[in-house]
Amino acid sequence: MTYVTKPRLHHPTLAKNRLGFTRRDYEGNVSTLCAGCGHDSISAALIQAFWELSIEPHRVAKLSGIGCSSKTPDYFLGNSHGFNTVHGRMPSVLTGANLANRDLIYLGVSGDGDSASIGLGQFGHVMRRGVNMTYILENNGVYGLTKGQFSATADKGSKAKRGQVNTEAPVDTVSLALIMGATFVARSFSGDKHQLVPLVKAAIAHEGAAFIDVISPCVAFNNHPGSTKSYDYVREHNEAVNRLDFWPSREAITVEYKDGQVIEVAQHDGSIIKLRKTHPDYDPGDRTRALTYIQQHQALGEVVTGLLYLHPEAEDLHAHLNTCEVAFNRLGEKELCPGAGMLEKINAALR
Amino acid sequence: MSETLAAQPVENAGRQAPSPASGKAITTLSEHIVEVISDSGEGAQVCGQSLGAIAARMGNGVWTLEIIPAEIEPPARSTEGASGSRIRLGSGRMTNCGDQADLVVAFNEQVLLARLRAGEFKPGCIVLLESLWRTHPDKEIAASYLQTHARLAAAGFRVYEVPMERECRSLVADARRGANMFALGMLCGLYSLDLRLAREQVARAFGSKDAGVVAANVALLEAGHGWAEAQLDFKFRIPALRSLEPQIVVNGNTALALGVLASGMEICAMYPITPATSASHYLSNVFEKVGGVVHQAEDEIAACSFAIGASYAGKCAVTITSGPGFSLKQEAIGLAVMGEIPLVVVNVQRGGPSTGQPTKAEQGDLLAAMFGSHGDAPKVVMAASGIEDCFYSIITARKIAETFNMVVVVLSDANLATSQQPFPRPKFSEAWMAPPADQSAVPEGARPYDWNALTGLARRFVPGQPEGMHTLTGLAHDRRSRVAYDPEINEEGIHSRSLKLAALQKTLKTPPVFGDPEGELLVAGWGSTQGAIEEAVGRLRAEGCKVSSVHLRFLQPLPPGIKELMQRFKAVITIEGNWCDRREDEIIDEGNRRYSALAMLLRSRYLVDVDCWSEVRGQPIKPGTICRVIREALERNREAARR
Repeated sequence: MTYVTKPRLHHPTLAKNRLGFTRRDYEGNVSTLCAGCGHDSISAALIQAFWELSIEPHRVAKLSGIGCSSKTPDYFLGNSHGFNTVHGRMPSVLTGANLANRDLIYLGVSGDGDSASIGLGQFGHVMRRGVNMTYILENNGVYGLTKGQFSATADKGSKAKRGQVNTEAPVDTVSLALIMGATFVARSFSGDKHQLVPLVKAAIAHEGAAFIDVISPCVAFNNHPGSTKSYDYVREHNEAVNRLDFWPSREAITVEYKDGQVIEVAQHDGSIIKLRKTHPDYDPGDRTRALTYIQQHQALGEVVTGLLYLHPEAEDLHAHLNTCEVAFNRLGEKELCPGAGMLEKINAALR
Repeated sequence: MSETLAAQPVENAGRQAPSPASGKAITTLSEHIVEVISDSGEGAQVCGQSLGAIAARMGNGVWTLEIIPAEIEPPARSTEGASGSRIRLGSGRMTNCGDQADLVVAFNEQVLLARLRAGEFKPGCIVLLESLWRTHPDKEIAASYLQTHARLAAAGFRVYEVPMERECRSLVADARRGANMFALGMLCGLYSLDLRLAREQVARAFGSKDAGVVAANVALLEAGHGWAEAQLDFKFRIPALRSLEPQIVVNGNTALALGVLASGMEICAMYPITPATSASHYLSNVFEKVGGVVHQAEDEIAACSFAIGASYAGKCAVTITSGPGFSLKQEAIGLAVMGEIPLVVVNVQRGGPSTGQPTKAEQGDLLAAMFGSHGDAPKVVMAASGIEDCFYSIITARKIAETFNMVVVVLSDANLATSQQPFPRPKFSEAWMAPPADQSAVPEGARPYDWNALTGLARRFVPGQPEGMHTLTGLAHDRRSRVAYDPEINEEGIHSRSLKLAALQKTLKTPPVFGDPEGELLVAGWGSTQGAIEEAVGRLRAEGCKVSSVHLRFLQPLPPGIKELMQRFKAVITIEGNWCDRREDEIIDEGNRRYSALAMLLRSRYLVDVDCWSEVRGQPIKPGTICRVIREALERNREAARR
């Protein structure tokens, strides 16, 4: 069926990353989404980010739910592991996988129907648990696979392709992630690769719950006048609070910026995020102010993008649970068997 | 009973109980059923469980049953608030709660009435009744007490008034909250139980509190013992026939949790639900000491999905729930079936449908376990047949789940969940544990669903495994796990997943028949009813009835040899705790009668005319009831043969 595998041959002069892989090694199958779909741009940004970070593909697990967005893991990182779960339940499957094997890099890929409607509960809980992951929400405000119904992120007053007007208030996933305790929260636009790629790289390096809401126009059902998730609307109303540059810990920082415009944030793993602030009053280290800021601009019809919140000292689920350093799925009987003494104690307690 | 006791100086701690009244005759019994009932929160359950534990340590057979009100704090002195324990003590092994009580300790007459109305007491039953209410300042209460007392005496019950609270008053500040230990002492005296063991048990029950609490409760225990020795003119002895091999005394939920521990599953996902929660609680306590994680998810769906995630990542996990939670998990179970992810799902059944009867026993979920989840979703269904089997079922379930990459549903129920029974201390076997998932590089050319043509089995790839990269999916997929809607590929997947059940079936043994291998009637059962059914069959066989029974632990697949086994009997009837239509209803005939779950399965699979009898009263089915049902069935069959 809709399965087009790309030929493995590629040009011998293609650039290689530190591991010797070309960008092509991070690609997946040919996308079967509509031409011009924002999601494909996001896939491209993910490929770029993983390639640039020189991450071994077999160390990555991509988990997704159901929907156009959740199909995309097929179109990037074809040499990684994947799990296309059920609608709205990717967060809990990812949490379980992460608990059983902490050594993998987890990428959660979801959409607005998946995360803001059927999976709203799970979305909130995966953030509050601080699961170490990069959660990408490909947000187009519309149900694509079922042909154009409003999703819960569609703005009130926004028009559907057939002219219906959305009468309900939207779920703002960025504010929700902030309230639920995510330690890395960003919003971007699928059409803005220069902003999105560094954000993805920083999110991967973040050792906690990292969330990026990516507005991603649906060319088939939500790219018309009257939609607030169309390319034109987002380009006109995008208010970037900062521009990001990301350096993994190993690399020397060579770029310089003018004082007063740049702040540096070091993450747990030693990586550095440099923010070129375009809005001088924006402080990504303050959760409360971030919420206020987002909502103030929302009221003005502006879509605030950029790194909106970062907790540099984030802790993850494993730190909360005080689990062992070795991945659970590698522990053998020697480590797991409680030992005769402890078993005797348990038995004795049950006489 | 509570911390409040500690505040009170205990003058009588360590007092020697008076020696037994001379000349008191000791009646030797083979078994007795005792009930201790009180308002909720007065500690009758602790009393009953302690009595069971002490008797078990003396080598007696014991089965304790919790009498649970539905509310956490029901009104005091109300029939609906009756809370406590039934303890069946015997010389031999006890496998169920028995029929009617021989002796009851009641903390007020209202809770007594509740059990009386339910028909739980034998004619002439001994009643030890708290006498506090006789002189209660509230005239209505006193009148109610007197009236009940008179009624019981007139009905032939042997009523003894016991001033429990008055006797406790000299020992503790809050005398009402000490009466349970006083009652325990009394019962230890009445049943000639070892007072030293009783003291140890009390120390164990209150061991987490400070020494003052233990001392106060031991004093109450001894006071009760002394009172019974001095004031009551009867005494029993139930000799222990069992060898004193080491036993553990646990309820079915604890046994489940121990099974999880023994099977090497260190990840359990749950959402609080009655009556399953205590299994996860116990597991959580033990994991605290030995390592492991109980994940309390945001809902039942997330709990199941979490377990699937862990299993996907190579660490087989279990999720423990009850009926409503089981319904919610169905979509996720389908995902595990489709992805062939090993998973153990425990359903501690309660009354249904919907919220039903959360604290009551029912066997209503068998068909949901087999056929739940849309589409063709073959999964293994087992049912624990007793408390000990709760332990072993989980170990078997984990092994099957990982060997066949299947979902294994283990059914227990509220009866097993809260009943306690001693069973031989399990001897740990290394074979129970699972080695870590194979994470070596996948050989070139191997595919994630290389279904074996004979068995449907395929090697599982774990994420992180070099060269094992693929995208697991709940969509129809080919051998490389690629989404595919082609007619052949879809059929191949469904075919292969179905074959696995047949492959498992080939490894199962025909279950043993209890009684002769042929006869007039075969009684078939599953789940928690094994003890009661076999006791009833045993009683009737002793009377010369040609009846036998068979109990099924595997319901899907059904083990081989069942049809042949059934055909050696003139008739077959199932006894189950789920609904079947009553033949005596005017509107019911063979064309519309709904059969009980197992009967339906046996009829459809083997084309044998299996009858059924069921009860959905929320209580364990009693052996006496089953005797009556079997007699009626035998009579009905003979009648039909004569016609």
